[in-house]
Amino acid sequence: MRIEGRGLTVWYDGASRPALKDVDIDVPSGAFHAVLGPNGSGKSSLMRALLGVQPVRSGTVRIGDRALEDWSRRELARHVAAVAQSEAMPFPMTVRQLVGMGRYAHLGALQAERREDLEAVVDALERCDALELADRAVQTLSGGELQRVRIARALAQHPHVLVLDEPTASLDIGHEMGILELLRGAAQCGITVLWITHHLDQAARYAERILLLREGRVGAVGTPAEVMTVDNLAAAYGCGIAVNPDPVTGSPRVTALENDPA
Amino acid sequence: MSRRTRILLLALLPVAALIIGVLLGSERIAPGEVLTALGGGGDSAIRTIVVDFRLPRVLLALVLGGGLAVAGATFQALLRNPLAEPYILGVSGGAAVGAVVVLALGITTAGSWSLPLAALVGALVAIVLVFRVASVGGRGSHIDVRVLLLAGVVVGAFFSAVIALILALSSARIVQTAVYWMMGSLTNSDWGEVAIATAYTLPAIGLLLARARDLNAISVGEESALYLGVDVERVKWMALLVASLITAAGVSVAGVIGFVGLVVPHTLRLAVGADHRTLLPLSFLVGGAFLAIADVVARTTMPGTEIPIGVVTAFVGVPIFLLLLRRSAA
Repeated sequence: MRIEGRGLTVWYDGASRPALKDVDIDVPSGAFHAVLGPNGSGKSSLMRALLGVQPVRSGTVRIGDRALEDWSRRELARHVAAVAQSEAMPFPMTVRQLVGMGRYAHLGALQAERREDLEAVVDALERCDALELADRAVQTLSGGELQRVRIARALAQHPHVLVLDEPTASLDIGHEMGILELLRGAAQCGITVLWITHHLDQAARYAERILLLREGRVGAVGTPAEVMTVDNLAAAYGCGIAVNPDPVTGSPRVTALENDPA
Repeated sequence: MSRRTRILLLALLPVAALIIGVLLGSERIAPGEVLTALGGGGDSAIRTIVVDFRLPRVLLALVLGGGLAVAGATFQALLRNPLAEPYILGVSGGAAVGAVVVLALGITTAGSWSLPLAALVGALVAIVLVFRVASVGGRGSHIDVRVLLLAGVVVGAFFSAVIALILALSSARIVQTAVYWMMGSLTNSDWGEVAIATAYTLPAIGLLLARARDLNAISVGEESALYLGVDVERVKWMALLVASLITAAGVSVAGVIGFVGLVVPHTLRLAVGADHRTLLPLSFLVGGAFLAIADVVARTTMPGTEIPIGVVTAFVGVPIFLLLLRRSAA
């Protein structure tokens, strides 16, 4: 399923500049794209605008064969799953319950979970290497464990599109690799993946295409080799940059340098 | 004890409360005589006490306490705050202003309908005011729960000032009546009130129960709930309004009864977890049982007089709550 935004502009009340200005994005069915950009460059605003959570001042979004406005939240959740940057956990709840929320959009208000729903939860936990956490209280999880569980919840939705806002931010490298392989596998199975991240090297290695945001505008867009240039990155991040091929994977590897190379 | 057993035992509490509430009272009546009276036989004075006073009173406590606990659980989920309680949006303040106004003007007499009606109107005024302030944006559809919370607290403070002003200008007798009303009482329970309270509380709880999964999702955050397929604004409007109306109607019948809506859902979450599909029905049953038992204490501990039921719920609720807090912090 394709997700496509045209001319997206988001302007928060009282802000001096738009958070997002005329951004185009097109992620075809089964593609694995990454969105990069410094803090405040509009990555999360883009995600929220694409998913209809943040009203846009102008621009249009199409998901699948329909305009965003023609989807109800419930219908959309059966096709598109998203992992927001953070959420509250004020009440005691088990991991299984939290991941079970991924099935809500597939169930009637008073309908009990069917066997396929319970299986979807177990399967999603397994794929995120979190099955042994199933009966733990959510409050007792570490940051990385919680992150894996939240990704499992998105997978339990059985989505055709998966959007993730910094999903590997608090993961160790072992689990980070696990999640990235999982996302790549999902894309190979035909799930469209849009991945917002700060990890330049991992994005260069895993994403097919990259959108680099800079102050709410498209700074660069294209394949990792096209986007990950010294000029593009230095302009976006405002620091010295060196880009070299990684000796093992061959994908572009970014090194940040002192601001004043002299 | 397994979770299933705990749920079953908790669900049976209202039955125990009903039995205790009918057996015990200011008049000593033997259990056998109570049973005879319930069967329609025996002494007619005893029958009046059991069937016309005790039974409706216990049933009203079950329904009102249950309603308050469900309203509390709902507010806590929507505000993502375990400290929220049914009166947090200024409903009690509005109701109290309504009640105090009719008392001060001398319009009402004990048992008349004008006092609950005025209280209900006051509570509704508070709800409309708080919701108007908290619905932001031109389309008026979005409710910011943080603004709602602040608006509720501030509106509540304003109503307290209005009450203080009216009471300052009233005679001592009216002040006493008003204060007594504000502390809550089930003294004037009758079958009519039971019927009315049941007629609005049960459907309202049914509405909330049908949205139990949505409340689960909203309790982890509104953005995540949207991604899970919940129409957050609609559910928020509906649930906030229904919970407020349950509270408003409860206050108008029995005054301000605190702690039920705070302690009961919190305790149940620790006992059976935070899934609202279990939490809401269980809150109704246990909240009702808690209030019914509190009412037995209110009418039996001091011979010849009744302690305000709000005082009892606080006396019982606060130690339980502190104990739980300590245990959950350990």
